[in-house]
Amino acid sequence: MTQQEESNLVSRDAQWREELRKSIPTKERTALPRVKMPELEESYRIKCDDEVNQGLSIQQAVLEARRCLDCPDPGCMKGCPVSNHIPAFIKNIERHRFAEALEVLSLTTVLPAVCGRVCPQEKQCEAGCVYNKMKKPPVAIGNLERFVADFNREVNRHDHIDESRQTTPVPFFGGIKIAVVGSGPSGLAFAGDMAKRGYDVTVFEALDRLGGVLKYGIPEFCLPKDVVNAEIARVANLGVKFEKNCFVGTTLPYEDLHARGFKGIYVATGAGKPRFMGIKGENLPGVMTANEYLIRYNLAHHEIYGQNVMSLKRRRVAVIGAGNTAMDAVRAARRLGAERAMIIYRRGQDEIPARAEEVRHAQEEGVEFLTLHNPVEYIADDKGMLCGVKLQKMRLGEPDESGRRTPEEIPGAIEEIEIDLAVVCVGYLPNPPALTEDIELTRKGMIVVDAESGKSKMPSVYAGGDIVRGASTVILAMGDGRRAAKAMSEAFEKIISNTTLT
Amino acid sequence: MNRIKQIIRHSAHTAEVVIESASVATSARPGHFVMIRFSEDLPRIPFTIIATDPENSTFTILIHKGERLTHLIDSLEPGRELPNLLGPLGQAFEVKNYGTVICIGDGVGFVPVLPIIKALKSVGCRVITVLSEFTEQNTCLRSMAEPYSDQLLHSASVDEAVERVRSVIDSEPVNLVVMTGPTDMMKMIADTTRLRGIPSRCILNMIMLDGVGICGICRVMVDGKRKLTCIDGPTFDAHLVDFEQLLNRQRNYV
Repeated sequence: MTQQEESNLVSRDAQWREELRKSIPTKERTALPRVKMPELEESYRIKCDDEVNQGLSIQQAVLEARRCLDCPDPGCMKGCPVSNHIPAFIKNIERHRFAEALEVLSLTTVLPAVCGRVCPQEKQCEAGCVYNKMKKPPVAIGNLERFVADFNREVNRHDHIDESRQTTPVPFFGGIKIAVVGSGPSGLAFAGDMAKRGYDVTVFEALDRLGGVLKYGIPEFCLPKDVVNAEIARVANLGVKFEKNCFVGTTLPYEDLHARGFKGIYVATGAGKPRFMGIKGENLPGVMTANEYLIRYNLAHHEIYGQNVMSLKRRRVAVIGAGNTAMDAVRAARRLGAERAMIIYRRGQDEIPARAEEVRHAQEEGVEFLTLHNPVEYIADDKGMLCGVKLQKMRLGEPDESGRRTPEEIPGAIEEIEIDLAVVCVGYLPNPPALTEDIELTRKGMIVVDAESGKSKMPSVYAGGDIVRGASTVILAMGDGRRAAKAMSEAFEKIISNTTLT
Repeated sequence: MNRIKQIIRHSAHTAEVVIESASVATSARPGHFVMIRFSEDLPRIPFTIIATDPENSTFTILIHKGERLTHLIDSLEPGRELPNLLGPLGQAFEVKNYGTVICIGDGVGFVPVLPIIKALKSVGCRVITVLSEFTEQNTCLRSMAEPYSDQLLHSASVDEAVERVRSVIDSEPVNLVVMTGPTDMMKMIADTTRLRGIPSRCILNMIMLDGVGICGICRVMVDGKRKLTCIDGPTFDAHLVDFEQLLNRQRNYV
């Protein structure tokens, strides 16, 4: 794409865009109601794995795109961690140019189908939408982003377009080999950007499937594996190579990366090591980590481990925590037939950190929310199996530095409930082991990097995503990857431009 | 890569599988394990690496019927590509001349200690091997351990195995005990050696989904701290492992 073509797609001053703005009066636009995302019915969806959100039709997407006022100073873009050109892609939808809408998104993101599904839009782009000031629901930016990605993917599939033939990586830096450790969102974003800049990129993945947390962590009903695979294929089509079953730092020592000629390394190993609360009974059979439970649910349907056949019929399941992982886990429990599926959370309903949509979906699916309850002890029956949990009732005190009201114990208010399975979703620690002993880590085991470039204290090693942030979001991980790619490639370009032939 | 090179069937129940993998063959040390998926419809399972042959780029594992592999042994044949293989994983066993070492394992659960016996013998340890629940099914274990054992004792049960260990430490100075096998047996032996102040290592055999520290199934309390068998183990100080808790957990995870 030439600069002129790009500017025509993105610029608010492009002629088509001015005409489009004038074509419908603002009053008419703001009078349009927000298009509701079509969803599967609760009674059906809790019996299967199908994606709950069904996606917008063309008509719905165009209608929703019309609501966007194409603001001169768009608040939505400020809320987006990777500064997607939001009004530009939406206006391309409005004029039915869906391929161009994807081109606009592709300038800033490699995972639009994923981010359109799992980003907490209500806290990011949609929070900055001008409609909020009018006390109206914001433009459904996430739903539109997803529409663009899904529509183009389906068209390409239908027309059998081999995207690899459409991309021609710049060959200039083709000789410089770059290693990416981890194939989650951060690694994929970094790899895609570096390949576009003409580097020879290889992504190493410890597991036998690509995608990291997108595969083992997020269930099919939120993010279908096909969607993730298609996004990975887009990255592969840029010329990125993948090596699975390769645990860098263990099965492939860091030194070997150098020996194999890698000049730059991006560490995006994520935070998947389970955290525990440190209360009594956490090692009882019947207490699972979020990962054990979700890996079994997401990747291991056919795998039967001893007595752990994944059916929760007539079981009572308590999920500890209220983040996105907890919502995924508790909704999966409903799908596995659990009689009671409960969220146990020490703060109040308003403090729940998960995406609003996931919380709503969970409520619709019959999940019980025991907010202001904090587990203090798991109880075993006379056979040593988990049979219950003691909960300390809480009340809300003053707001803490994060702005959330601090929960306090109500003295003596302890309740015991019967459960058959507890899933602990109280956060993650950085994945072990670190790449090499020389890398500087924080006390909690996160890699220390320069916030702007993602560069660690070790030469040629950059890092980003959850291994730097602790458990965070897909979009921030992706943003780190993109920033690190820019910084690393600029560093290489600087060296090359300073080199003279003798 | 990752192809089955050779299968040695020791009995209807036990087969030694030689697998081609240059990286595992060159970097594996005694105590390491691999995660293998033999076919797409089988789970990934951890296996002890019992031998390596860097020159031929191969390593060897032992598989037994049971272990969810009932049909597998019969169907395996040389030349088969493994859908996936990850390793070597875990922390290597510290191999040095400890002096006199008792190595003990039980039947099928004896396998993890096999490479340790060989390695310790090669650096000059006096190795006393106790092979418990000795049956026709695993005569191969005996033949594998015998060449590297200064003394090889049999026992017919867990209790007898513990007795054997006791009688050895009663009769001569022992510098290290390395144990594997059923958790109740390890607990009994660890209780015995703790009283006598004999350093003891246990090699845990746990279920794992990923082998890279994510699922948390293989967690075990060691000296009051939560450890992961896949990352921090599989060998731990037997005197510090909370076997009681492990026994309780394992009843649900076998």
